Amino acid sequence: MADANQRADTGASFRQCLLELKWMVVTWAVFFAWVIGYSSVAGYSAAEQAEVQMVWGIPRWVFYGWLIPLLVANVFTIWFCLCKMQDEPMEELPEDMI
Amino acid sequence: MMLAASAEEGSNAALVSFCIYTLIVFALAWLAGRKREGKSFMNEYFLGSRNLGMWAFALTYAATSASGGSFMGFPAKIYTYGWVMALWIGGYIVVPLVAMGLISKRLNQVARKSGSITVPEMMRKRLGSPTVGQVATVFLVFFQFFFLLAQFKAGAKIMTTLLGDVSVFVAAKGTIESVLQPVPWIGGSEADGAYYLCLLVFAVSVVACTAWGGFRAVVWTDVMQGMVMLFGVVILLGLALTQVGGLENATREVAKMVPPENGVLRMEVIEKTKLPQGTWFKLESDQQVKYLRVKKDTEVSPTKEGGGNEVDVICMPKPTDAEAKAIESQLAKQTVAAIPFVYQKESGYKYGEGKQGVYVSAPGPSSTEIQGFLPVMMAMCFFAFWPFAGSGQPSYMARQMAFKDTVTLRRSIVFVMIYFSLIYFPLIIIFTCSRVLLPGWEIDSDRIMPEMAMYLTSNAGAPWLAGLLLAAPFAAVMSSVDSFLLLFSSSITRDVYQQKYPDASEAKLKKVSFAVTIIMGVLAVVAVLKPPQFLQDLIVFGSGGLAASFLMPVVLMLYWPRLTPAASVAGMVSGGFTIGAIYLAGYFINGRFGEINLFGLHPFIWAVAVSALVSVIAVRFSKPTDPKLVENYFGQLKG
Repeated sequence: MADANQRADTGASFRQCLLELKWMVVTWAVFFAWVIGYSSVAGYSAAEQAEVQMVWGIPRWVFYGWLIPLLVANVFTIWFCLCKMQDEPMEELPEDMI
Repeated sequence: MMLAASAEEGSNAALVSFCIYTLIVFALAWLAGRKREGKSFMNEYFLGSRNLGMWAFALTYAATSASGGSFMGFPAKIYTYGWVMALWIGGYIVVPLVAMGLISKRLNQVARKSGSITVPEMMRKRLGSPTVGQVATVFLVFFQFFFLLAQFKAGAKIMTTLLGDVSVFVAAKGTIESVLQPVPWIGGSEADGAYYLCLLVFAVSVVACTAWGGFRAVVWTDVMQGMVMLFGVVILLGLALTQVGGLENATREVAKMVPPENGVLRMEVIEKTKLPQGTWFKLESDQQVKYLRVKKDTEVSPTKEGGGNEVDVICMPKPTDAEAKAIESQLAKQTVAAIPFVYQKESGYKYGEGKQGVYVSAPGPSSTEIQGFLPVMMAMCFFAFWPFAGSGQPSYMARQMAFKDTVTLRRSIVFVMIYFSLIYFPLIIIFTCSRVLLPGWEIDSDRIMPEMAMYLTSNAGAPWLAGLLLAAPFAAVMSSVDSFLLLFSSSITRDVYQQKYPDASEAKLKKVSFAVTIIMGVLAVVAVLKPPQFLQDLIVFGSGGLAASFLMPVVLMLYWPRLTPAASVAGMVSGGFTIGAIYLAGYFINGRFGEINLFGLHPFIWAVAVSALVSVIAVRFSKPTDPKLVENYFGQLKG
């Protein structure tokens, strides 16, 4: 099965997938730093405040530590998926699977 | 009797709309079954001929992901811990990109190239080792089963709430309880006829739907269920915000709340009296009012010694004005006669007792942990858990094998990102409001979602809408259960039966698939006859176990040419056993099912780290994979 089914672009496809995987891991790390970094300071000290601080009815630390990152993540995902990720030709299925 | 919303008229209306929804699900399953004719049974039944477009792939992924945990366990946690749940679920902001993007494209390519239908089969073929496939099947079935149990419990609970006051249902419940009275284990005074009946109806419908329709039925119903979930959440959000007086008002009220206490009421009665779960008592002393709520159905009787009865309750020690108003309106509708009592506090929250502001800040209140519900280290762990555990779920991998091309994948990730944003953020708002509208549901917080749906729609004068809203969590549960059942039948049929009988006919394979689906459904019903208390714990254990066993072996299998069969097996075994051992230790230390967090880290982190380390070490000491296989899946690595 190995040689007969070998496509010329299998290696290139693998390398592109690996590159995209690295992008995703870095993206995760950036949002991790933002959400955990900000919330670990602002969220854990919020209990000591006499009055809850809010933005549009949402606790301030949730607004800047979660809602804004969520919106940025949406924008980033749209850009990454529609502009950065590359299309690959799909592998053919073995005949007995069709 | 607990809420006005539970009036029979409302229940009947909700039941009708819910039945219509269920009939549509059955119709889709039937149509899917017909579409299978003339195609390869295995490829069509288990992967829908790998031809999913954007809507189907995105919504089936989203619906499978949004399980009973999202609509039952997650709301219960928001209710119990407040706004800190935004941080708990923080990792979801990158779930679509990471969980779908990390392996989808590569996984789909490798599955196509190898002609694989299941994850164990793909691992077996990529590494050229039957042992890898067998070990993968064992871990998949074991951990997925725990996940399945939680969904069965959730499905039965939703139906229980929906049917609560329908007269036929009440009669059937009484009959079942009296029939089961002498039966050991499930009978006696704690027999819950309502739960048993709902569990049976849920199990029969979901098993029949899955067995008949296969993957395509699951996907079609997922598409519908995904839309139902979205509309359900949007409607709930509107109703909740309107009835609570705006989000700012809700957050301000929640900020004033303090956690409840656990205690007992001692009371003497002159005749047998039933105290249903949720019955309120009011305690007034020194210008201070406390409200007490019965935790579970209890019967109190006259006692000869005059020692009285003990009834377990929670106590709202410092109710806010909004809480008092909501409770008083429920008290006014109660039919239980006034009974004199003495209240005794037994325990309070270990973090947050008597403290305002704990529901709008981190780490959130906790009845068991002195450092609170979500210490910083755990917040970090969960930020890793959601996206990476998502990548390691075989049920998602099955979907990732089925999209038709990479354009579909790219657009689906965007779709799911927006979809999740529209589901999870509103859920946090809705169930923050529920603390204000429905106080005291710490007695059975897993029921807050259906109770909230009934309450909001009844107050809005549209009880029939409750059927649609309850269809949302029910859809989430059903879409997960059918996916899991299909995963079991595909793994056992393809990786066990067909391995042993490679020449088995399609008709025979069909029968085996149906039989496995039914057997797994029956086993799940038996296992949850005595339901475990904490739904979310089961879900985290099941999904954590699957991710611990599969994440590193699958990622390395796809991206690391040097991975060997022995290293793959070692990675699965070490990951699965690590998480199992930590939960087992938790059981012995805490006396209940739940994890322990060594050095503040969630078991998932330990298990994935161990799995990765063991895999890498094992590669150095094991026989390399056949170079032809490596070249087949990775191409010419140099140049």
